[in-house]
Amino acid sequence: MFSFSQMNKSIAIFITASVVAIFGAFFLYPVGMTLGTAFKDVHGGFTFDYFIAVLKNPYYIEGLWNALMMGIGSTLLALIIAFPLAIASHKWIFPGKKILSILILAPLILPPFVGAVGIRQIMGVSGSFNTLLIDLGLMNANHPMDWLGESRLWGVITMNALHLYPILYINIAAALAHLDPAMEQAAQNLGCSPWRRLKKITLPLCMPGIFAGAAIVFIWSFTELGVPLVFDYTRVASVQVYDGIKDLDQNPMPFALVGIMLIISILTFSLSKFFLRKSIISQTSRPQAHANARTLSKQKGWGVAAIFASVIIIACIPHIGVFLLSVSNDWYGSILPNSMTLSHYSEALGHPLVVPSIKNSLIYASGATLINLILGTAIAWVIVRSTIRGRIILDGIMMLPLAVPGLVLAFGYIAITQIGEPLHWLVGSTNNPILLLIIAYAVRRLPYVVRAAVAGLEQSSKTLEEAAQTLGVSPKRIIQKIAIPLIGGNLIAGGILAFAFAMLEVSDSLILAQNATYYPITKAIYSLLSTLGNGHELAAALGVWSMCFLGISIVGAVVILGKRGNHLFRM
Amino acid sequence: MNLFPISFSWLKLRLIIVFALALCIGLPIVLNYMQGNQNTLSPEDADRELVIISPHNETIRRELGEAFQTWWKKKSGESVYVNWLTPGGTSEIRMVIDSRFAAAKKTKTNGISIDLLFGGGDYLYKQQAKKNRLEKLKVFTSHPKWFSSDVIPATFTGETYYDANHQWVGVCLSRFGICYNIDALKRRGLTPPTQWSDLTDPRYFGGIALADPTKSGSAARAFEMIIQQQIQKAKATLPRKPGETPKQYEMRLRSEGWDNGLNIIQKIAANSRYFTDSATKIPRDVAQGDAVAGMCIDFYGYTYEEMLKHKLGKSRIQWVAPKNGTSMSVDPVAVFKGAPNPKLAQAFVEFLLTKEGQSLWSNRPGTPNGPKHRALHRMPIRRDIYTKENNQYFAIPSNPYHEMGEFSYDRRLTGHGFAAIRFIIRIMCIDTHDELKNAWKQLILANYPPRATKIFSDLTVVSYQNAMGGITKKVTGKDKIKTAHMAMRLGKFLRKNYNHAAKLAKEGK
Repeated sequence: MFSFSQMNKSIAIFITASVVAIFGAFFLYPVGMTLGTAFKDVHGGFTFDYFIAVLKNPYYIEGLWNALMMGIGSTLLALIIAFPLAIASHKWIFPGKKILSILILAPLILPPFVGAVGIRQIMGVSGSFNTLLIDLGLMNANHPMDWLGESRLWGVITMNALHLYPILYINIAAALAHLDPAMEQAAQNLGCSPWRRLKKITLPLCMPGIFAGAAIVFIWSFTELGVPLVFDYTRVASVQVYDGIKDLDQNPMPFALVGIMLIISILTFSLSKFFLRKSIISQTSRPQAHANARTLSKQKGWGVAAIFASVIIIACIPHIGVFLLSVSNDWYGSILPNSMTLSHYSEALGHPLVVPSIKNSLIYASGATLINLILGTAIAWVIVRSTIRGRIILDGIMMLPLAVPGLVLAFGYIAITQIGEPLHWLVGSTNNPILLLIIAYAVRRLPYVVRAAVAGLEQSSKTLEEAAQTLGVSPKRIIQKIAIPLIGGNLIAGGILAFAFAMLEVSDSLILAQNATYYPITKAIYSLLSTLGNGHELAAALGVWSMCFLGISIVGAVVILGKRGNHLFRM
Repeated sequence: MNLFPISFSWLKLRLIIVFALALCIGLPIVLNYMQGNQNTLSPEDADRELVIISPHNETIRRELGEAFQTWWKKKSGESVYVNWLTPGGTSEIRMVIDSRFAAAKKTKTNGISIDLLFGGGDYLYKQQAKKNRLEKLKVFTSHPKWFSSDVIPATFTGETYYDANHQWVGVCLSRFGICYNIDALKRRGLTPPTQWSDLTDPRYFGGIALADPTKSGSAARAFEMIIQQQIQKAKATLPRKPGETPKQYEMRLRSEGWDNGLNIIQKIAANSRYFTDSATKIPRDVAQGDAVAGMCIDFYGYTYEEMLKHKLGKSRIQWVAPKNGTSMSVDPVAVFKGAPNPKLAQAFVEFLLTKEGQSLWSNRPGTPNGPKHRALHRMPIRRDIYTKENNQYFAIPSNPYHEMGEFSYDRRLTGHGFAAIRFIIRIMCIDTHDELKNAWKQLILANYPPRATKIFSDLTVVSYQNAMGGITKKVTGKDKIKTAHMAMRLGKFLRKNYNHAAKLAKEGK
């Protein structure tokens, strides 16, 4: 007779095989096509010479080391910001909590390209911040501080952390929403101090959420390109790869460097997962109740609200910069723009590129998010629930899309969809990149959903599923009726991240959407940026539009998805 | 449980969100309608489609695309949809083209489904022509009179304006120069720069924005000019030594000029904040005062200058062509072999060189043959456009054919080592930027102690002979691992030198 565990295993093998096939075709194959040059010698034979040359060159070693520092530093700082905030939001009621809990996610909606311009407007030599300090008499007008030019690594780490902490926050919030308050209450009744409760109960129980967020933040910041470029910080691996790929002399060294970065990413991920495994405890049952948040005293409440507000204001410096830029005629050497106008909005939003790009972005991002939710849940189920061998490796590989530089993957896609290649059908004879872009977006955003779903499954016990299995419920129904409802909050968290970052995708959009008919919003922003004269202001106006759109969509998702969303954000 | 329980009911909140979303999506649709864009031609409605891959900015694409549609309609009665492929800058375009030709070769397909390559420096075109990817241009036979010295000269300031085999032709001119912020200069006690070597002044430290020569051929050419200028200066000032053969004398002049040029580049790089491949970043940073001065293409400089002048009376950003230090290069156009629409592609080239096409670059919006939306601030290639009558319509009244000094780019001096120059600047200035800046800072602080200064300036490993010989051979050779090893060896040497110079300077030696 076909036993349940066998059924479990055969489904797991089927899912794994399908996922590996999809992932192989749309990730490993294109990346391999691009990175292949790093393994070819002058006669076309196999070589490790480029790898060895990278490892021997102190310039690249320093770049890798700095990237590692950037990754670790940003992750720790983001954790320091996100964890207390998530705990505070989970445990206490304080003034303005509802609005603050949503606004804290603001960094998620910062549009690319113009975000960097926004920071420069505020933190530049003649920016608002320096002008404010000069006006207050705290800075010599003849020697203004060059914040972006002087701080470098620390600046990059701070900016990364302020941009990425929502990923941790949203994952920890999802984990906390899962917590069964009974355990904490029991500890409290037994006289356990709040600090000890946090250390012994809350922290281990929400460790899957912390790990999920931290893994993404680490790999993201280890390979981050945009922020180091804002600070003109070039001695870091991601920038070295970017510069090398674009070099007119076409040397394969940057591709070898990408290979090494991938190995470091997967090693760091697997090692930390291995060591953290012991500290993960799953709960025995689905929480029946949700912890009642305690109302803080007026003074303490306002204190917590002030901390939230400060983080939001600092994290929103680029947003504020982008907004003010979008309404400025000229903004130079003053705290606020010298004169304001709305004309950039009518010019930017009325540009012929914009309306089609909105439609395109919606199609690409929704399609990608849908694929991610299906694939991500299936993969997470295999990783957490199945017993098949190699699932840990599968878990590690799923993180790789975050670590591959956008340009590498994008050119890989171009290579595999050329005429005569097996995947040419994706673009067809009309060179229509819609399918390709949906897949490209989905592949790069898959880790968010996988991590969120893995965290959810790890946190919830499999006893319910086992019970259902014993009662003869089909695995499909188990997933539908038990597993997915259990991890609904996590899926919303992962889905929001996947959707937001798909809407703001850069590299694939620039390279693959070459024809104006298929431009997504990010490419429209990029195009407007190159308008002579007021390009930055026009791009900022469209940037503000996308911030509004994404902001409303995220709040909308939370509201319309109902109860689950509420648990997630502890409204 | 409710999201915003105090002020709104659940239903109201949903309604507010739906309304906000509708407003958000509706606004661009309404604005689009109000601006008459609904009449924009779609690919499905057009009789023909022209596919152009280009690094040109949105302003240029829009003006030229629309003007060509009108021109073609008048000429043939057909509507044409101009499909611009814009994967990014010249580097990305080169990668896309390479990737497509590789696939075409594999499948034995003729062409890459792109008609034209338009814009970017002539370096990209020379590479493509060398790879036999470009079609001969018909305009050379249909309008032979255009290719005379009083219309489109074959060369000017030492730059080639069209391919000898007629595979590409320049359509507009540009040159690298210096843009600077007058407020920032004043703050640092500097006077406006007039030539490249002015940027070596230590008061510029941390304030210069540079274009990346490893990613852009025209930026690399600007650096090459700094070297050529020094070689020509050496020729004008250094006398021949007794007993020196003419060949030895020539080599000495080239070597000394080369060394001086590299030292100038080294100091400018030591003063710099960054090397970028983003053309708009430099004028923007200078306009905002984040950088004091930067290396900038003329039309970006002019655009910013005019934009800020218009609003404040006098512009805080100025652009200057370095005295005898810049050549006038072209932005070409070429038709790809196997173009899907060869006839239309050839017509586009013809259009660009007609007086109507040429005036788009220079004229103010609304003037005869001028652009519709905004001025492009670029200089047309045709000499006969620069007439008194046309001058009144120009956005910038200037005639490049009169303005350029006596300096002329001489390919024989450094052209052979063009790849080596890019490589050397990468090793000497970009990869070692942190060490270079630190050493320069210590030298400035210690008032240039002789030993430290000598070590800092020692560039014998990248001398003229080495550059034109071994370095060029390896950089242009097929075995990239050899280039990588050379990069490591030279990089290590220069880093050591810079660190040593910094240490000695700190000790006052």
